Amino acid sequence: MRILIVEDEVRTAQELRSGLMTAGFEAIVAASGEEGLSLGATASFDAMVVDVMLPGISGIQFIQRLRGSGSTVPVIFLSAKGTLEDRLRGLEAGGDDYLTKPYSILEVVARLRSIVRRVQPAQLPVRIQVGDLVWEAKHRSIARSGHRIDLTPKEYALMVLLLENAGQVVARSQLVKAVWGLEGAVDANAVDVQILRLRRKVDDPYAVKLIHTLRGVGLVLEPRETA
Amino acid sequence: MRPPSGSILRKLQLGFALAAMLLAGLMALFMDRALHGSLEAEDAQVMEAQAHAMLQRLVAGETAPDSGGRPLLEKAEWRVMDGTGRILAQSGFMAGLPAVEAPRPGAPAREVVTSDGRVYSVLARPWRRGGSAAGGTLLLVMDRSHEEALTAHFRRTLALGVGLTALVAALVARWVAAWGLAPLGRIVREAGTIDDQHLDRRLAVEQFPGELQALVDTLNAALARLQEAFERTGRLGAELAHELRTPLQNLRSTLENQTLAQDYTEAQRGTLGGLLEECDRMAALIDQILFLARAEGPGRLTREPIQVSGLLEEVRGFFEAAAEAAGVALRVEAGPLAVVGDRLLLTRALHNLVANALRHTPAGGTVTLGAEAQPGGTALWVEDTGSGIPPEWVPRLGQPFTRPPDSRPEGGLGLGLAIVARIAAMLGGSMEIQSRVGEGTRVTLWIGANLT
Repeated sequence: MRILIVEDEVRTAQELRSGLMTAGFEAIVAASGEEGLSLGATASFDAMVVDVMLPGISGIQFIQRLRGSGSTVPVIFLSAKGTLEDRLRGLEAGGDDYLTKPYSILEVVARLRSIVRRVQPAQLPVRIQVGDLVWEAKHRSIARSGHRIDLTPKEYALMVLLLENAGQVVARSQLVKAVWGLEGAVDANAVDVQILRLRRKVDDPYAVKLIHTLRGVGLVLEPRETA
Repeated sequence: MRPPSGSILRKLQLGFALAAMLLAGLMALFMDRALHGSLEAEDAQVMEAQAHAMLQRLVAGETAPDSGGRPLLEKAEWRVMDGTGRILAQSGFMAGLPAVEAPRPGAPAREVVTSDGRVYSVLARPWRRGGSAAGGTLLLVMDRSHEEALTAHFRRTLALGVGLTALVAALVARWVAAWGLAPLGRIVREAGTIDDQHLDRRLAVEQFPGELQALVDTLNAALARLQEAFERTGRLGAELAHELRTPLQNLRSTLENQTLAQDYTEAQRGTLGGLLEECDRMAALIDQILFLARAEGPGRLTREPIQVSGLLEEVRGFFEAAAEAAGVALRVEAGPLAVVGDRLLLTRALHNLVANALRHTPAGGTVTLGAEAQPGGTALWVEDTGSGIPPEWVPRLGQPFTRPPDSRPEGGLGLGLAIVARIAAMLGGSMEIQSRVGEGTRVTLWIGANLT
């Protein structure tokens, strides 16, 4: 997937590009809206990540011209301004999503995947296996070594998110959105406790642990032997 | 605060009543004088005429001047004396009359008040029978007590009239003043609808009387300055947001990329993760400060109908696991109740309150989320059976960075309640804290009537 990053802050752009490339994307940086438009006109991109506060033409003007030229490429806005009005303005101008700085790069990756999936609906597998854990979506069933694990609706939602991204780190912000439908800062303790309860059910009885916390970042589902 | 310096209404009433009393009093005095004067003049005229008739008879040789002919004067008593003052003849009543000092003959009638309180007019006139030595003084006395009683009654009536006039004036003044002051009330009401969400509103100058134009203009100018200051804060906030969040973004992205890279030990990743958590804390702090500084937040409030029990259940659901882990029962007590409001803001306020409550409630305790419709609006509350707050701290809790000294360090920055108070104000309501040390705390979010 080819992503265009339109961001004037050099370091911000570099780190984002590096993060996106780690996630398996191809990423190209434009330092201004004008540069972004000319790049967009010559090459094709699967999605764009655009800073709202740009020198020269703003991110809003950028997308207006982009849409004016007939492009329907998905655009995620990144902004230092967290006001709901700014968010709405960004979306009304033709943006597909909006993230406030400081964002998690993993969250950007997740949103990019979800946006591209929206454009080209992907078939979700009906059965996923990670180690000895098996998820059968049709039966809403999760089992380890053949033993079914009883989960509350929230634990199940959390587990499904981890299963869909098995082997990849899921950002905490993604998790909060998937489980509770909330965005922005929430009580960290409540989230930690919810994760702890899930781990107790899924991992405690087994030697091979599946759910792992990456402190400050999020969770990853993968089999790991513990000493 | 100084007490209000008097009431305009009272002053106007008093002034009106005094002016009316003064005018009515002057009028009464004038009328009294006029009546008195005209009665006296009339009496004097009648007495002169009577005296003239009597003198004619005396001169003609009659000794009893009132015999024959109808007396001009009722209750007129007379005495005829010779040159030496000897009484030649007198009317019956005159004998019993206390001695009255006779005025100089020829002078106008004199008023005499006797010891029994009766009032008489006394007139003396010289007489001389032509061609003889006979002559002396004719004394004419008229009882005027009845007239005096009449004028006294008239005066009492006038005094009552003056009093009534003052009373009516005071009542009229009240009405006139209330009518005249009504535009002030309108200014107060209209100005009262202007809050930080509607700083672009102005008072319509043309709707108010000329005397109040200056006041309205001044108010509007103050509002304009306030709006400008708010917009300046907003612009400053936007710049501040950019200046603070851009380096924080760089820091966070670098740390995140490093943490996800494979070239670190578990311990090193833990350290990087700890730094990431600090970044997130700082980001949350920036959010909260910009929200409290009114530099950020929903510029427009969304107004959607919200099922309160559903909202409270959602909040309960978020904290369910945390409460269970802490050994605290988390309950919802709310009947079917709906409010119109901003769901995001209400959720944020309730999250802050429940997080606080759980933090301060020991295992075995209960945290209750409740809602109740009240005549003035809706009350949403979070109650705990926790440690309570010392009373001297309660009034200060809505202010930023305020935390009781013994609260635990993980208790946040003391911005939570300030944000709840701010949200309550944004929704047209208020926050109320009731607390007893050792028993628990209830924080109520009053959602104003303008929202429902």
